[in-house]
Order: sequence, then structure tokens, then C-alpha cells
Amino acid sequence: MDEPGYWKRLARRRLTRRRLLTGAAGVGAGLAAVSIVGCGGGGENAPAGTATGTPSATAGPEGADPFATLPAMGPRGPWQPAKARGGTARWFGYDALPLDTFDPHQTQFGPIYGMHSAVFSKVLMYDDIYDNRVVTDLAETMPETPDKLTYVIKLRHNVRFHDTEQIRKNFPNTAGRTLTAEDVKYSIERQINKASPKAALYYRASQWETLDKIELPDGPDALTLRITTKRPTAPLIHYLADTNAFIIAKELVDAESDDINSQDKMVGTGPFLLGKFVGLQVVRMARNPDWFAKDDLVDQGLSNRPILDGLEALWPPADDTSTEAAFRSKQVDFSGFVDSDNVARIAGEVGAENDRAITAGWVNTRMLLTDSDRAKAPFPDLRQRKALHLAIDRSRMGQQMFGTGYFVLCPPISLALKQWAYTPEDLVKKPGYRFGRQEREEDLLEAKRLWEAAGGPGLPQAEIVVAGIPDYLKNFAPQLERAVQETLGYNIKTRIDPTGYTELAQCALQKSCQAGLNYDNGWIDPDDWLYAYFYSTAPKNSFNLADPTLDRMLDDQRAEFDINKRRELVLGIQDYLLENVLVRLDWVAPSQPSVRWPYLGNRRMTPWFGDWYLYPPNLWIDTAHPTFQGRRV
Amino acid sequence: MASSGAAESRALVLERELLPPRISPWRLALRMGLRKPLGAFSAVIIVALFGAAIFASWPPLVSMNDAQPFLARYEAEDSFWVYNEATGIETALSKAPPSTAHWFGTDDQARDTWSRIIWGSRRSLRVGLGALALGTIVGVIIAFLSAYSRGLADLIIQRIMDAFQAFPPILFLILMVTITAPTENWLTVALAIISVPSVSRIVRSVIITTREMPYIEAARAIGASAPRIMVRHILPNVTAPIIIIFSIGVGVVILAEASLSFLGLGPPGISWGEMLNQGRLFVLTSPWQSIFSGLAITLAVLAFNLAGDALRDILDPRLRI
Amino acid sequence: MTAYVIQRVALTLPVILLAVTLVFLAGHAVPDYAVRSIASGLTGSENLELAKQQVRHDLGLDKPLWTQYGQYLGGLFKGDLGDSYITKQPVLKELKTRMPVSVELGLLTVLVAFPLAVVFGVLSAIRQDTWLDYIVRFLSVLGLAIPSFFLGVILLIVVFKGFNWAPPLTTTAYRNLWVDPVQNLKQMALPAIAGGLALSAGMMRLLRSQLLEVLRQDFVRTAWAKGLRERTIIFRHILKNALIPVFTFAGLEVGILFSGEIVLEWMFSLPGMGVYTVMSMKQSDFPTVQGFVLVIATALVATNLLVDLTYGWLDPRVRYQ
Repeated sequence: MDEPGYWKRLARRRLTRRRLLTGAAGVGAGLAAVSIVGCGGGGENAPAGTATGTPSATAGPEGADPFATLPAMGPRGPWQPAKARGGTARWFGYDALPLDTFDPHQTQFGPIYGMHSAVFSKVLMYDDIYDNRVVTDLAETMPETPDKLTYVIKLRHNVRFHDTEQIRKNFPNTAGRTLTAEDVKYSIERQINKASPKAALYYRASQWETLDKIELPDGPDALTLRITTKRPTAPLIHYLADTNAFIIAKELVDAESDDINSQDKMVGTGPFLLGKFVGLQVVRMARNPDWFAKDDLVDQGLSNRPILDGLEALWPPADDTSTEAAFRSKQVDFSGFVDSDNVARIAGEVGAENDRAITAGWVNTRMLLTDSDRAKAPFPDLRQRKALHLAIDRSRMGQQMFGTGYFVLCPPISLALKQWAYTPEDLVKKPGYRFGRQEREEDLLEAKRLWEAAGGPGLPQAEIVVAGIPDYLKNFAPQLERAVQETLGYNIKTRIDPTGYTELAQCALQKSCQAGLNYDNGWIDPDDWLYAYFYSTAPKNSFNLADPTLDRMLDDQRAEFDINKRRELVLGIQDYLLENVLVRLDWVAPSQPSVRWPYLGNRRMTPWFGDWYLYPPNLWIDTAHPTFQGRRV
Repeated sequence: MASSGAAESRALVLERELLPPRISPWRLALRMGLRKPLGAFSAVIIVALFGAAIFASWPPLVSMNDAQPFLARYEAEDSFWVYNEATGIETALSKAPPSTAHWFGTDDQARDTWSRIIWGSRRSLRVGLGALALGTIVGVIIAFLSAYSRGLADLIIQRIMDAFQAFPPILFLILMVTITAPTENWLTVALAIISVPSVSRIVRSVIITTREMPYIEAARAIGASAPRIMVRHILPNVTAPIIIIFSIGVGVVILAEASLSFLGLGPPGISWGEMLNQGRLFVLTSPWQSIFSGLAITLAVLAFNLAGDALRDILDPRLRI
Repeated sequence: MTAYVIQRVALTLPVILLAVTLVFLAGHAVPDYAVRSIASGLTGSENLELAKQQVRHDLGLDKPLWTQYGQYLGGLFKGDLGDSYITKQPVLKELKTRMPVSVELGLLTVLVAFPLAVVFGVLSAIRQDTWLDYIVRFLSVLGLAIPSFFLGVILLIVVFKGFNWAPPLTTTAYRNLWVDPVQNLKQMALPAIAGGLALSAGMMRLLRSQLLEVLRQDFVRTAWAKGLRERTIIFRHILKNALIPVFTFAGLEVGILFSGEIVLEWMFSLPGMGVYTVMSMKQSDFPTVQGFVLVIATALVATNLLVDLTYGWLDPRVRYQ
């Protein structure tokens, strides 16, 4: 690469590639909201394209609230009273993703948290993550906290494990028995048992290691626990309500291998029973008639929950035509689409609802910081990583992956977590997240400068493993290569994980990949977004990162009980990450709509996996609704 | 002198009378083309295919990164964006219908479909020709080995060929690609392996029939060695069926590669099959990618099939291949 | 005749054995995703090597190759195809649910193709060189070139946009023919039609050329001279002779089709054998792959055998070669 000509060629290429076209220029049919491109560009939807598809490329008013195009995120109203009972709700989703393991404490695959959260219960649960509202699930009341280190939990009386003929046959000791404090103690302590062969797979160990001891003051068969933490730990309430804080039955665990890795063992205390799980096909759930919380919402018109008889999550068909056909013929009650533009069109055509929600999940790239014994760090110099961070255009990535208008930019903590994340206005000023023409040019120049200064042009080719599922990731791989090549003149090699996620998951465990690109589950508390990844001894630290300053900051935020002060600390950590660390590059998050028939009531979009405890028990199908006609029972 | 001059001129006259008139190759091609219009049509398509593959870039045949796009107009991963001056926002020009800037429209990642189809022709031709070339060579060798071994060895070789043919081609391809590596080279090898049994069977039967002919016996009687017989007498007979099978085989192989890529199991890179698969995702909004990639596959296979048919008619209509 | 039968049967057994051996070898040469993913589910990173060894031992993979091979063959004789690495269930179980789907699709495809081929092949032959003939020939050549999955995409669009009709979901709601014939046929309709159209092209061409050959023969001219009606001649004399090779072709195709028209199965989400085999290959679930390939190869070879025998019975000339 001859130096003088190199940058000139690069600069020229960049500009010509832009293919400047201003004004109306046959933008594809169905392009509804040109306004969206990430935060700060927002505005109302531009007038939808005409039938011939030539909307003008205008955007909404400048300076509009960036959240205007995003779904309203805030406390919802009360649930709607049930109009009818019974029936099975069906939808398309990735819930039947082939698993790494069935064990709810050892799995990383987000889609399965749904099934788990329907089968198992937690001590506490989130009612709404937007305003951090935690309520009770197994607990009778919110924990008493006599001091900053002690929590006294009283469990409900009538919690029984699932009881069917099949379960009685398989596990006679578990079927129908009462849940006790011992179960809770066990479920927590197994995750910090260092002697277990599965120790490395307990991804929430770093949460529970904050505990000093768990005592059962009234004995193992009673319903009281006293938890003491080693230090003041603000997120403990969150830990008890977290997505995977499930309580399981001790006797179901295989003593030798320390797991409950089989379909049969999915026996819990939750609102639904697991009927059938067939990878890549279906997850079928049946109503639990003895759910302990079945009458908790009687005052809102929902008694004897779950209202429905069952749920079916079907693996989506290979293409949108089939999906649309299935939705129109009411073979499914709600569904997303690969091409999100279809949602608005279909909703308009058949009179269905268009649900939007921002997901807390996001696309990121994780990189090795220092060499492991299996792979070399691709970009050990911070400037090299910064260059990548600035060079790759997030707006383009979002548009190509999710469609224009269906993504948001993603900082280290998702914008969905209003409490802990940057405001969109602040985010949009940060290098790498700025998307105006002028700002992009500046960022690119800076990227090139950093890359040069850090010896980038001489770097050996790095390999980035791209997850095979979902499709939009592997489809984006050539564009990723192209983007890096165009902006930095560097050849990065992408390799698709043919198994979907398995290889990447192993990569993370064994630190055997230089870099990976995948879709990551969203989390709720900053502890999960930050501590679990970046603390030097945390289980998700696949970067070989050990930064004492960062460790201290992460410990500090754990001890801060004042929510506003904690927010300051958390923002500070994010600033630090963006300035000094950048081992996890956070790109974009989907904000995809789904279309739903109105006869299905009480469906709430949530940003995270593992929400089947929240709205599915309240779902009902109104057989008297006009749109119900033609639905196969 | 006079007599040699007369002899010469007599020779010239004889020459003119006995030998056919010399026709320029162009007129010969035209005549053949008119006789076999379908063959001519297929020849045009094949030339266009090669043209597309070779001249996609300038200089021709050079890989995408080092050359300027020529026939392809744009690079394969070029994406197109609409820029709004007022707001400073770039929007992807995705799923656009055909226009002067984009003859076949754009796909969901705002890439030009025409250019990807042109670039995609390289995969089809490389894999098609490569697999058939390899398969034919190996097939001919095996056929000769088999035919000349006779007896048990012949039987065994034929059974092995049958065993390979007992696999549905797609399954075999996927198996091979899973075992080795999902790269184009291994795919070519796998496709070659699939072609070998058909080639060897046909060539073997031609060898055997030719071998029984009286003139071969005569050649043997005057002391010609087996290799000499093979090369001078049998090989020419084999050439015609090979050409025909090559032509039809390329069509089959292109279809097989497209099927594999359609399933999403093909090697990375642009392939018409993969484009057809991707196009399904937004076929209701913008069917252009599906239509044109499907047409490309169809035309390519059609051209090679028709060419094979025409060649068979010309070279030996009796051949029942 | 008996000798012929015995000879043919005797020849197929080694072929099946070879095919199975090939897959067996392939399976044991592969980077073992299955072992690795099972092992990594058992433990974290530190003990991975140990866990892999344990898994290999549990699955019997650390024994010498010959022993494993012998055990596998022994199991086959008892009807035991082994257990899947992934689901831990017997391979036979999955086979039993999936085979009927693929078989049905194959049969339906031939059922669609056959009448089309006969009608148009006959018409084309007796009205040779008319515009009808040219159209049919053009369509059949096109049908050979067009990929069946492209046809499938087009059909899906046409049916959906034109008639607003959608095939019922197949991912879980697949109904067997004997459970719910209406539902089943609705689900099979589009893939069978797409496959059938593609198949009919080849059959049409073959039937046409066979018919033309027979039409030229003396006994037909005799019948013509005798004053028999065209229709009698066709049905009583010609069709019988001409159909023999077509039956052969159909039989061979059924063999291939029933082994899993993978692409169509995948596109229309039918729970068939082909799709499952591919999935198992990707997961390195080799007992499943071996079992399914065994069945598929056996089916292919058996169908070929059956066709050969039927051909021998129908056409005495073949037997006495």
C-alpha cells in the first residue's frame, strides 16, 4: 500500500461511493418513515409513499423529540378485563431456537427465557422496566430491609409445583408439592458453587457472589429467608427479579452433572406448563390450573389466570409471503416480519393493530483485548478500536439490518432503559453516534488518523465470527467487510457461525475468537449491562479485560442506593468505556413492529426476553370480536 | 516445363471439383445457426454469459477489489443512499424498482441488482466449467480403466459408480461441504464427483462398442499396441459424446449450485441461487431480485441444455444420451 | 427370467453397502461439532478437552474404526439404526414420522407430472411440427431449465396475490393423509405442483421422442393402411410401447424425489426426510445422517432395481441381452 496515493484513493472512493442523489429519487415502495434514522433525527412519519412508491426523501421537523417515532415507553394503564376464556394464542417467534441447555440458570440463549419464565417463578418480578417497578411473585410482600445488608423475605403459602399425570410419573416427589424457603436457597446457592462441573456456566454468579449468607430462620420447610450481603448492594432487589432468577426444585437436578437439562424437568411453579419443545418448530405451553397467583388481578377483571388454555410459539416461515399468508388467515394471532415495512401495510389492509416496542437486545461486537491461549487480540491498541468504533456507520448498519425506521443507535446501555441510559440528545453528540453528514466526515477523518497513528495499515488480517441466526446478521457480513475496507483500507475477514450461536458461545467461554458479531440479549439493570461484562472476574468477560479503575467504578455503582446518584455513576462508567475501553462495540438495536389481530387482548410489547410471566397469563381471545371470524379454533 | 504447368493446372481443376469449396467460418456458423435456430439462440446466450463474467470488471477477469466495474456498472457491495440536505440524514435506497441508475432495481440492503447478477455469473461459470472439466477428465480415465480391466475389476468399478449415484446430488453436496469446508473449490470438487459416474458410464459404453468394431480388430491384427489404438481410434469416437455431456452437464451443475445456495448452504460470495433466496424476503414489495436471479439461472441452464441438444443433433443424432 | 432377477438383486446389495460405508467414513472424518457442543454443554472452558473425551467415550467414538463399523452393521441387521446424538432418541423413530411425508410428496409430484406429460407428449407427437408442437417443445425445454424452487416462488406469489389463498401452516400443523386428507392436500398442493411441472418437462420430451420413433415403425403403417382410427392406433399400439421408457423414467425420478425433494420441502416447511437430513448434517448428528442416507440410498437403489425388473418383464428384448 503506497502511502501517498493510499489516502487520496481512499478519500476519492468514499465520496464517489456515496452516490449523491438528492430529492425525490424512486425510493422503494412502502418507505414510510424516512425520519427515523436513529436518535435525534426523529420526527413524525413522513407521508407514506404512493402506490408507485415515490415518496420524497424528506424527514420530519428538525429538533423533534427523538423518542417521538419510538413507541411510548412508560407506565402502562391497567390490564383489560377478560372478555372470554379459553383458546390458544399462536404467534411466530424465535422461541424454539435450538438450545445450548434447558437449565434455566446455565443457558445464555435469550429466546428460551420466555418458556422458562412461564414455567418457573421468581421471588420478585418486574412489572415494568421502564420505570423500574418491581413487584412480588413468590414473595408475599416486598423484602424487609432492617439495614443495608439484610433482607428478610416471606414467601407465599400456597405455591405448588406443577402437577400432571406425566410429572407424577416422572417425578413423584416434586409433582404438586409446596415450594419452601429451601428451594429458594438452593436455587441461589447452586449458582455460586465453585465445585460444580458447571461452575463456568452460571452467568449470574457475579450477582449472587455479593451474598454473604442465606439463612432459614424458621427451618427449611418454612417460608422465611434472611439474606445478608457482604457489602451494601443496591441491585439486590433487581437480582431477585432478574430475567433468570428462577426458583427450581432441588431434587430435579442431576447430581452428577449439576443441571436440569431436559424437557421433562421443566417443572416449576409458574403460570404455564411446558407441553412440547421442538427445536426450530414450536414451543407449546398449557395452562397451569393451580397457579398461586391466579387471582391476584381479580380487581382488574382477570380471575383464574391464565385466561387462555395454552400458548404456541411457532418458528417463523422462511419468508414474509408465508408469514403474511399465515397471519391473514389467522393461523397466528400476531407476528413480526423480516421486512418490517409489511407491518404497516398489512395492519392498514386488514384492520389489525401495529404494535411497536424498542428492544433492549442489541447488536454488538466483542473483541479480545489481549492474547488468550487460543487467539491473538486483533486490535490491542485503543486507537485501533476507536478507529473501528468511529469508522463503521451505525445508521447504515441499522438501515441495512432492520430497515429504515426500525432501529435505534445503541450505547453501552440501551436507550430503552431510560433510567440508566444516555438521553438521545446526549448520545447523538458523541463521536461514533453522530450521523449528520458533516459529523460523519469528521468522525471518519479522525478514524483514519487514529488508525494510521496506531499502525493500523500494517495489522494482520483479523477474523470476526458472525452469528448465523438471525439472518440479518449473516446477510450484513459482506457489508461489514466492505465498510471496514472502504473507510480504513483494512481487510477484515468475516466467518459465519454455521450453527447459529453455538460456536460463538463457545468462543466466549474459551476466548478462542478474535472478535464476534452477534445479537445480544437485553438486560434490565446496569449491573447486568456493565458489571457482568467488564468486571475483571465477571463470567461474561470474554475480552481478557482487567482494568482496576473500571472495577472500582463498577463496585461503586453497586453500593449506591440513591437512584439519581447511581445514575450519575452509571453514566460515568459508560463515558469511561467509550473513552478508554471499547472492547465491546455497541452498534444498533431493532425497534421492530409487529402486527396483531384485535381479538387478542392484553398483549404488551416488552423490551426483553423472558416476559411470558407478565402478559401471557392475562391474554384473552374475544370470540365475539368481528375480526375473530374465520379463525381456526 | 509445359507439362508440369499442365499437370499443375489439372491438379488445381481436380482440386476444385473434388474438394468442397472453402467457406469462411462466419458463413459456416451462419448456415449452422439457421439450420438449428435453438442452437444459435443458446450460443448467443452462452457468449453473453461469458461476456458478462469476463467483462464484469475492467480489466477483464480481475477480481472485484482490484478492478473497475465495467459491464457490472457497480461493485457488488456498493450500497446506494439518498441524502437529504436539509436534515443531513442518509436513507437507504432499498428495494427500489428498476430505473436508469439501477436497471434491475435494488435489494433490501440498497445494492444494485443488475451488478450483482453480472458478478454472480462468475460463480456459475467457474463452478460449472470447473466441475465438468475435472469430472470429465476423471470420468474418462475411470472409463478407460474400467473398460480395459474387464471382468471383476470392471464390475467393482461400476458398482462403486452406482454407489455414488445412489446419493441424491444435493445431499451429497451438502455432506461434502460439511465435511470439508464451505468454499467454492471444495464445491467444485464435490460437483465434479457427482458428474463422474454419468461421464464414465457413457464413455465406457462407447469404448466397449467401438472396441468390437472390425477395424479395431484389423488394427490389432497388424500389430497396433493397445495405447495406440486407444488414442488413435477410440478417443476420437469418444469426443463427440463428451462434448455433448459436457454441455448438458454444465447446465445440471449450475442448477445444483443454485439449489445449494438457495438453501443458504453455499460458499460465501455472490450466487444467483442465494440472490433468489434473499429476494423471497421482500418479493411482495419488490419482486425484481427474485425474478431476475431466477431468470438468470433459467437462462443459463436453458442455454447449455439447448447447446447440448444442438450439438447432439449435429454430431451424432443416433446418440441416445 | 429368474436368473436375471437374481443377478440384478445380487448386484444391488454391494451398492447399498458401499453407500453406507461411504457415509460412515464421511461421518467419522468430520470436525465433530456434535461432540464439541455436547461437551461444552457439560462444562466450562477449562475442562473442555476432558469433557470431549468423556463424550466420545460415551458415544463409543473412541473405539477403533473397524469396531465401530462392525457394531453399526451388526445393529443394522437387527433393525437398530442407532440413536441421535442430539435428541438421544432412536433414529428409526424420527424416520418413521418423516418418511411418509417425503414419499407422499414424491408420489404426488409424479401424479401431477404424469397426466401432463402424457397429454402434451401425445399431442405434440401426433401433431408434429405444428405450432402446438413447437409450443409444447419450447415449454418442455423451459421446464427442464427452470429450477423447481423458482417455480415454487412464482406459484406462491401468484396464488397469494391473485387468489389470496395461503397454504395452511405446516410447521406444527402438518396432518398426515390419513388423519386429515383435506388439510394434507392443501399443504402438499403447491410443492407438488411446482415439482410436478418441472418433472413433466423431462417426461414430455422423452414420451414425444419415443412416440415419434414408434410412429415410424412398420406395424403402425400397417394399422394405418388397414384403416384403423387414429385413436385406436395410438392407444392400443403405440402408447403401450412408447410408455415403457417413460415408466422407467418416472420410476427413477420417484426414487430421487422420494429421497427428499429437499429444496421444496424446505421452502414449504414440510417435515420431510431431506430437510431433516440436512439439519442433522449441520449439527454433526451422524447416526441420524447415516440412518437417513441409508434409507434414501436403499430407496433409490430399490426403485432402480424395481424399474429394471419391470422393464425386463415388459420388454423381453432386454432380458435376453
